[in-house]
Amino acid sequence: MDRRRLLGPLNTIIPNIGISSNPNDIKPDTTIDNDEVSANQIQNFFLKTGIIENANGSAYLEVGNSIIEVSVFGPRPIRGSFVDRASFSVECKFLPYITQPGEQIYNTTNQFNNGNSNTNANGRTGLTTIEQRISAYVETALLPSIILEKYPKSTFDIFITIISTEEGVNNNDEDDDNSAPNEQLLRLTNWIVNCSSVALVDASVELKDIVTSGIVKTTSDGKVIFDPRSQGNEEEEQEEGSVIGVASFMNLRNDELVGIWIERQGAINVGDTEMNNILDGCNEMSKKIRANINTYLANSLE
Amino acid sequence: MILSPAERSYLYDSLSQKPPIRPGARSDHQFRPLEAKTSFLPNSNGSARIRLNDGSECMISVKSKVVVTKSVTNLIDVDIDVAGFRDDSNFVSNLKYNLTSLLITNFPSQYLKLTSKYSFKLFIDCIVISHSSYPLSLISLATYLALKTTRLPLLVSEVNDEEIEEQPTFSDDWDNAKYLDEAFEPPIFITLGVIGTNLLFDPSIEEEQVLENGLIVSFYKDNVITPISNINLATNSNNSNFKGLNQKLIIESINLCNKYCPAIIKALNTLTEQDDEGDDDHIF
Amino acid sequence: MTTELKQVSFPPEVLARIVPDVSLQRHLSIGLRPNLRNFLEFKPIEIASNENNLTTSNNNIFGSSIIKSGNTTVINTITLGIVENNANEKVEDDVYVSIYPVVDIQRGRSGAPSDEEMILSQNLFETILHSKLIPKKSLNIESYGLATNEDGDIKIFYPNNNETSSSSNEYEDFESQRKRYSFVLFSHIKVFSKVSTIFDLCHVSILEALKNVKLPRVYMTDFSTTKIVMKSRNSNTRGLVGINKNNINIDLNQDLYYDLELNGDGGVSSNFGAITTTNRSENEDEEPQQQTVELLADLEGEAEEATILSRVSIIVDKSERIKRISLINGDNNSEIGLDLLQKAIDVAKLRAKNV
Repeated sequence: MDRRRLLGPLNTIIPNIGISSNPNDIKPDTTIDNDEVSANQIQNFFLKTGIIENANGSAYLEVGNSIIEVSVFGPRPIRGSFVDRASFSVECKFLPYITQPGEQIYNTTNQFNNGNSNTNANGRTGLTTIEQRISAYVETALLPSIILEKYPKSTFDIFITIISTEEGVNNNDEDDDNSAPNEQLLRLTNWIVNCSSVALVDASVELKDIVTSGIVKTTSDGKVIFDPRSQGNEEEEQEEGSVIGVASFMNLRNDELVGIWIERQGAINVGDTEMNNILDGCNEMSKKIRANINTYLANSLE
Repeated sequence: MILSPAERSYLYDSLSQKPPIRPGARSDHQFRPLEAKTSFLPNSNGSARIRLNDGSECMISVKSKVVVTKSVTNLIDVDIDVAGFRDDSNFVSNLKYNLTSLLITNFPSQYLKLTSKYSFKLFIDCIVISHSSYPLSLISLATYLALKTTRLPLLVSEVNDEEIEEQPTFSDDWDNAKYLDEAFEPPIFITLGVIGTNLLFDPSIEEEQVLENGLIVSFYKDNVITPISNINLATNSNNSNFKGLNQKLIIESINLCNKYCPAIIKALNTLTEQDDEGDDDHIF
Repeated sequence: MTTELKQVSFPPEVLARIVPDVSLQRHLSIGLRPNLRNFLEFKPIEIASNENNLTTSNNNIFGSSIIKSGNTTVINTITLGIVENNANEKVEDDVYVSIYPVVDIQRGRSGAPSDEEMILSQNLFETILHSKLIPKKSLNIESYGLATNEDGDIKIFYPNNNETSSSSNEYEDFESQRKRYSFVLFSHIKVFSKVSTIFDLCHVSILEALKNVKLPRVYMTDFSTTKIVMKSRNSNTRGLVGINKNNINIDLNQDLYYDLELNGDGGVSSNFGAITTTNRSENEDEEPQQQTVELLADLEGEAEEATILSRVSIIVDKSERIKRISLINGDNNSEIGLDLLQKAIDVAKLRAKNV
């Protein structure tokens, strides 16, 4: 029993989110007409820095229905023996009401729910497996950009809060194939990296370069889709052989690749050209986002 | 073991040579020698244990359970326990995420299907008893062996239960138990270290401390597959060499894995075959 | 040889960090507070419209609010639980329940909730309980539906609007052995950019969220077989395949959602602090200086938080009824006496009426 949080009477049951008894109730059609969106267009996003007063730096990003907030705390002094470089940690957390992409697959054996989804999410203590995976990606991608040598005996901590995701809807459709959550997770991770980089800038941390990332999907027929978007419920017959990848770069340092995460549905090999397409595509997209961020930062200096 | 600045510098320089000079005179694509034993847990459907010469050791048990296919979201459940780490730590969670992701997306689930209603669900439990370098490839090789030698009881009841309600009934004779599939080669993970323009297979703990980056590549059916990701292999962020990499190295790593991984699979297969014939009951 | 000690002067923001009490006194002496508000001026609160995205885009949220005050943002989401009622217990009209809040303040630390968060949650719980806002009856689940599965086509039947007569028998059987349930309200309160005491803000956020709570209908599924016996030939051992899924479900049919009935408006929470100030008169030579105890509304910022220890928090509802007063006189030199308390109550009443 949790004595630190008010979680209601002990015999509380958390009901399943069921279906609608209204036959006319169909999920809103979020399908994007691919003809309208040109292949190279990146979603519009809203970015704002410095909204969190008690953090050293912060950034807030809205893209589609996703809302991401990043706070940077540091440099903060650490106790204990002397270290010549700062340490760096990232913690990504979804607000408890959000259905995490792929949680039915990955969050099954977390100690706090024992595979049982019917527990009060407000009582969640540690990070879930999915949150840990995102944290690890962001940490790996941002680590090379920070000049940690400048901050001996200190620590930087990045706290990421996911306030909303593109599909907050509880997905009870059990026939759902397993690649869609991966795709959603990668899309989210892409924006988290971009937002976190800006938060680091806002915190005036000494950086080698601003890390930006891009996301690209290639289909089996060789089509390259920039910034793939949710296809809604009319998932195009989950094309076997489509690959989705996120890659993060430091564009001013010779396009150094700092983070890569590639997933695909089905056991099909990854070819050279496909890989090149993904990496080049991500690089191109990361440059576009970088240009946007540069303009934003330049304007905010005025 | 933490290296001194002088040791780090020496190791860094020797590893960035072309070809690299690795401690233990390994070539860049050579794995550390390992010992393994399979099918030694009497209560598990499949089991494997792998030991490296640096004392790293990992044990896997595969158990099965009959489930109503519709009532579960996935037919494979992975749990990893690493000595010295909390189950909800970032380290363990990421190992678990990677292994789950690899198996869920690539495991042929038709092997687990019993009837139109019922399936086997596999529970893969990993215990890393001791490790020095990043244990993902160790766990994944042990999982390979365990899955390869997993035997499931023979179904003796009718397979078609669409019209007649039939509950699966199994043969009591363990000798009738069947392997998942004779030709089945489970997917594996390979960890690669990046230093300069060199790619090093299966980096050791000392090498991890001077690497510039790390790659995790998955391999299945003679080809590199996904997930592919990069990672800081040193456990703390205190590796001052850590930096970005050239994207050409990703392509190169795929080519290297395509070239050398079949040999790893072959070696593991030989190992299971020898284990089958061997009559010694010692684990090691 | 003499060393001349140079006078050091600090910019105001540095002074405020080094000696917050001096900085505060300097401000007050010219009739202003460090946050540039008047003594009895409250910080404005913005309430995002009820149609925020949270409720519509998350099926598991049944009420929500987003409150902003300065840079402080409070996101409150209400989720539901279900608890089985005592079989013989009859719900009286005058029984009231509360909401179970968990406050999470973004503060750059991970781990267990801090004392502040725990105390705040408990305070909010008790305040809502004793303000008799949520009648237990309004959370009662009067009746629930039953889902039937016909060839994979799931239909839900409710007792009062049975569409097909064929299933009514089935429903009656089900009705006779039913248990009684009621809803439990959970609230998750995420606070960003906390700069001052946030009880008032959290209180508003809960009330706002409660106001737009819409309760759904629930239905039971009983077609899922809970246990299947596995047999092994020629053997007496039997294994069980358990499917432990709870069978209470929420019907997402928005047409059937109904408002949560609340008793009263819950009131408006205001906080005040008292501090002794020294009025400096225009003429520097004029002695003695006059000391008065001033009342400050809605404390904010490091200087006020650290220096002002005598505080009072008052909740008054629209009909000017006082719901709660909490008073701590932590500073012997500037105590809140009856006169100041009266003044605070008057201001709180005025504010409650006008908010």
